[in-house]
Amino acid sequence: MHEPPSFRPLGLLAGAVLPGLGHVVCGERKRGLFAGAGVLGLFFGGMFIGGIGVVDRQAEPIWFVGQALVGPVAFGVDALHQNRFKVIDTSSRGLPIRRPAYPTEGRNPDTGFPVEGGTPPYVSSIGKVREIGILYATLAGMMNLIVLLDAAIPGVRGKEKAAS
Amino acid sequence: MTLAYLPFLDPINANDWWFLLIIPLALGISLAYKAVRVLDERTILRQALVMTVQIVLAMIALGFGCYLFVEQVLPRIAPY
Repeated sequence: MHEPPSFRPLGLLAGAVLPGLGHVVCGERKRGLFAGAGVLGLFFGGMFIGGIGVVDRQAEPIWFVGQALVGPVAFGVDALHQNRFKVIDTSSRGLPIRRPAYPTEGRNPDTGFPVEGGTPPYVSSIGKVREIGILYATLAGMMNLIVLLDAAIPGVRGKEKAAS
Repeated sequence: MTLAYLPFLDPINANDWWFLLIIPLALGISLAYKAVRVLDERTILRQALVMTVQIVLAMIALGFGCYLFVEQVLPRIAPY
């Protein structure tokens, strides 16, 4: 009888790239697909409910700590949000800031500056819908931490599987 | 001006039925949790569905318990 694997670095690495991929590359295809579907379903479900505004490193930094645990997908969505959908404005101190466009503004795609009288790239959510969307995306990150740890260290399940 | 709704960019209008969003939330959590917890991969989906129902029922029970405590118990032990 051989010793069960106690640590799977490949599982950790692949799982950090995409939720569930760690299990898939370690041979647990179905488990990885379900785990990935759960995590990504929560993350994109949050975006579907509250819009892209629920993933916002600048406006919601503490919530983004949890969302970041989803991995590169969360950073990609945030980068897209900051650079392609927010407008560049000037703060009261004269510093450049990024903010959602007002309902009466558009966004100049070349410069990122607001254009008066245009159509905003997206509608920023408020109230319960925003809270629920943020909660979905953050829970996705927290669940992915569990999935990632399991991909790296299968624990009891891995030992039982190896013993059988 | 009414803007066209863009999925994943704009929020949905769930202000009247936001509480129903606990069902897909519970399903997502259950799916990810049971995927790493269950020994037999063939039972993941069934166990995730069972856990979803358990979470939703537990939340309803918690809500009802809070209602009873705030509306029925508290006025008796600390009247206005």
